[in-house]
Amino acid sequence: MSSIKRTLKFFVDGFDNVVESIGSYMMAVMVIIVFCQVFSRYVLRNTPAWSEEVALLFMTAYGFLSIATGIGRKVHLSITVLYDHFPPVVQKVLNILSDVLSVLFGLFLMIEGYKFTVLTWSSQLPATGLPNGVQYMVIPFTGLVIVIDRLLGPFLDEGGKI
Amino acid sequence: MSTGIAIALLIGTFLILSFLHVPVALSLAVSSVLTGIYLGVPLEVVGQRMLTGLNSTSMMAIPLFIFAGEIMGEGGISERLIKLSNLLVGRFRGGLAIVNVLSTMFFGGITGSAVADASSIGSIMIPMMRMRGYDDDYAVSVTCTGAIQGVLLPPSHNMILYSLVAGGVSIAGLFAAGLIPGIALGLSLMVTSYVIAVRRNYPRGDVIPKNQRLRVIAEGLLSLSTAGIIMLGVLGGVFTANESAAIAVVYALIIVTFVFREVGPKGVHNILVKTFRKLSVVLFLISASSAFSWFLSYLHIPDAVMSFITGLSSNPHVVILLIDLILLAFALIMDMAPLILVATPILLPIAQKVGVDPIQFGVMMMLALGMGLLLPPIGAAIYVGCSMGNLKLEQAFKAMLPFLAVMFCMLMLLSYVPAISLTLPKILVH
Amino acid sequence: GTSTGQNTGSTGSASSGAHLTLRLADDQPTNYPTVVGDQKFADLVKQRSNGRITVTVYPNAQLGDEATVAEQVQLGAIDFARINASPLASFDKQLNVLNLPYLFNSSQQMWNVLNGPIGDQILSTLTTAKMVGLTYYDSGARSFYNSKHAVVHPSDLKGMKIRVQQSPMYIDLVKALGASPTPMAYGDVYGALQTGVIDGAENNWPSYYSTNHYQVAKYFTEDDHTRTPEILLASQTSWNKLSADDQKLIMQAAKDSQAAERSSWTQLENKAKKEVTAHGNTISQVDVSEWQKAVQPLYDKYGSEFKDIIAKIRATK
Ligand code: NA
Ligand code: NA
Repeated sequence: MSSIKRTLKFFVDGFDNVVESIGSYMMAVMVIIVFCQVFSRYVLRNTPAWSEEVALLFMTAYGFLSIATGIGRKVHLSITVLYDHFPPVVQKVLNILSDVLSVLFGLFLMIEGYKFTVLTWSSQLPATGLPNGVQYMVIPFTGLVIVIDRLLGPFLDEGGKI
Repeated sequence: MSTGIAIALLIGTFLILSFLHVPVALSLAVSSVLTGIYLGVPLEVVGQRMLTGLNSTSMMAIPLFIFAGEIMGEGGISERLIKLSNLLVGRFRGGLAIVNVLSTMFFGGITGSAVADASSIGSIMIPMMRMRGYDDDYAVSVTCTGAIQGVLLPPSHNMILYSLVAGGVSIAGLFAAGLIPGIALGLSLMVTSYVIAVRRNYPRGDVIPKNQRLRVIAEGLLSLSTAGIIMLGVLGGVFTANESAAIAVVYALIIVTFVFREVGPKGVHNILVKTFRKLSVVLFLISASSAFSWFLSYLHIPDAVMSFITGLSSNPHVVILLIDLILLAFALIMDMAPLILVATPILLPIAQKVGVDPIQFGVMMMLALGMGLLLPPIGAAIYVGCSMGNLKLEQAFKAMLPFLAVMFCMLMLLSYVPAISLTLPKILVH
Repeated sequence: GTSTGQNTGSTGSASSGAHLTLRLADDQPTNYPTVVGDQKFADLVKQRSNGRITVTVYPNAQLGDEATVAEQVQLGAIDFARINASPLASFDKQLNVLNLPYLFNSSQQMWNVLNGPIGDQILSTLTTAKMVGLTYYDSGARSFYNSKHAVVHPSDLKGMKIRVQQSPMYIDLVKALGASPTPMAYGDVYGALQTGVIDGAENNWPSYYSTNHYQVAKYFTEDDHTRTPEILLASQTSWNKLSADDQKLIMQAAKDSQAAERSSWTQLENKAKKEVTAHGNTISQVDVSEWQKAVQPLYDKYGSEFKDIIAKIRATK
């Protein structure tokens, strides 16, 4: 493996791990917000207006980041009935099909997600008054993660699948 | 531009890509994008629907319940539930098998994920049973069928998912409705495993020494109390589903870190990351099918299927049987979550038209799709079982047939006797 | 069939030009007054265009809830939608004026305002959100109800925990009346009333009845605090593709469909009132001026931008 490749791999892996850690702790924040909401309602007898909306922001961001790294790590469920009976060459072609579709889908999310975030930036979320687009920001970012992982992934793999 | 071509494009691309080993969720998303391009619909809609698919309050309960399940799986709760079951039913012939069904019932009663249940109880029970002379195929089939109870018994994140796509069917109602069928299924599985155990002359279970009994009961009840909190919270209307899920997470964390002392700070971090990875699969399915079903509605496909099925027969009993068979057929090849998401908007209106209550339909669907987890070629629970017991798919399937027969009878009862699922919701929930 | 907003470049006469299929989203079930109105609108458009323009109604939130459908309308993915002015205010701040409590003295005054120049002015501001406002539909008035005792004066609400939507304005409204606001998802309200987690909530007559809240919260106070109307609107993207004559035809059909929606609403409201009264619930009438006085601070906080409009509304009979 060349040193450029090694450096690139180091950064891509590091990037994935950072995204994964950020995502994981968003779940922790979500638990804390929902827990505090209950506490506040029963003990302080006062429910903040923003809690549900903010918890949901974390939920959707968390979900999209998990989708993104999942596509990178190829954890998603596939139907293997036919695949298992195909010769290795066909399997290889189908793997490339999945890679290509993943990258295209990542690009799609980047472009359309960006356009949609811009469009919805002028309306507001009802409780916090934040721009509506805040919740959609994660879509283009998810696309970016998918493109980085799936475009560079096969190239950086030890065996050099490309 | 014709609606017919658009429908063929949406459904056809999805089926072809999924059978070509493209991840199911990605196939749902790609076929939605292609249909959008063909129809000239602004494509931002696909991203929007994917995100709004995850953007609802009850949706939050799904990752939280899975998180709670992970904590309990890692935190030694399975061992304690097995000990408690041993104390309660270990003395019968085939004792370990009955202990297994009861443990999976307890564990499934807390979490609701059949796969987590099978792998966490199975990883302890299958080796234990093997050591005591049980056959592998039997040990695996008891574990896997037992794990399906978790889907019916509350809390069940699959029921929450159903409630979301069904347009807000009461979660409390669904939870209450799953109790009797879940317990009845557990009892009938115990009887079936007892009958088989007697015929194969399997031994009795271990005796728990008297001086340990108090501890086993205390720790077992402490583990089970998470389920109690959730049930009381949701059925009593004190907490919402996502609030009780968050409370269950915090409570389970406290038990496994401070009481059982099985998990430290590093362990909590690992559980968080593991949950994140695990959720990736189900959340991608949920969000992609939310985009897919937008196009299903846009093209009026549910209405078309409805008129097709009601055109086959006007007899409600026949229509209900057809719905069950359609569910089982799809469950052969598809996993639970995507099927709930795609089939509910299509089949629920038909079921309602022939007088099936949405709550009853939800329970029927849970059982049918739960059976699907055991049915090859695509069955998450049977895969887990095979890998734990080193079995071939056909061996495991053959051993499961008696249990599947019991489950099918149960499904027929649920379909034609509404009272089984609807009595408790009427009493416990408004 | 043809797709969304596919045009034509039609020449203008009602019966000429290519066929058009347009889509209208509503989050309520079939038979609900707004969907009855939507369907009337669709029928009128079809009839007046001699079958050339078809409007397909998607009820039951098939294409999404109100907020996401509003975004789809902005995109031009859907051609029409029926959305309440309250969630719509997130897209066009001007609409917040219609959310202010005790803004109108009566239903009749509200319709005089909405169907007059002020109503038109508010509809026309929707273009800033890439939408074209067509007409208003009725959604009645929201009032308080509780499980404790009859409420006639604001002071009777003191200390009660009242469920509200997750909206800062509603939270301030309940605080201004001396009660304690509890934001909570709609589906959880029944259980919360039953178990005493909350003491009361607020909604219109049909919802009070259809959610069975009337069985667990027996005291209804007809204070009619908000009368936030429904709005039938078009996507500006789709609208711009239509010929001027088609735009005129559709606009008129929308305005003419209002009567059907309002009469369906009145029927539904009367049925709910009848059932609730038969159940033996206590229904209290109030002196609105006393309540208007109590919420004056909200007008300073939320109404300062709308002083002119508020003055005009108050001056309308
Ligand atoms: Na469960
Ligand atoms: Na299956």
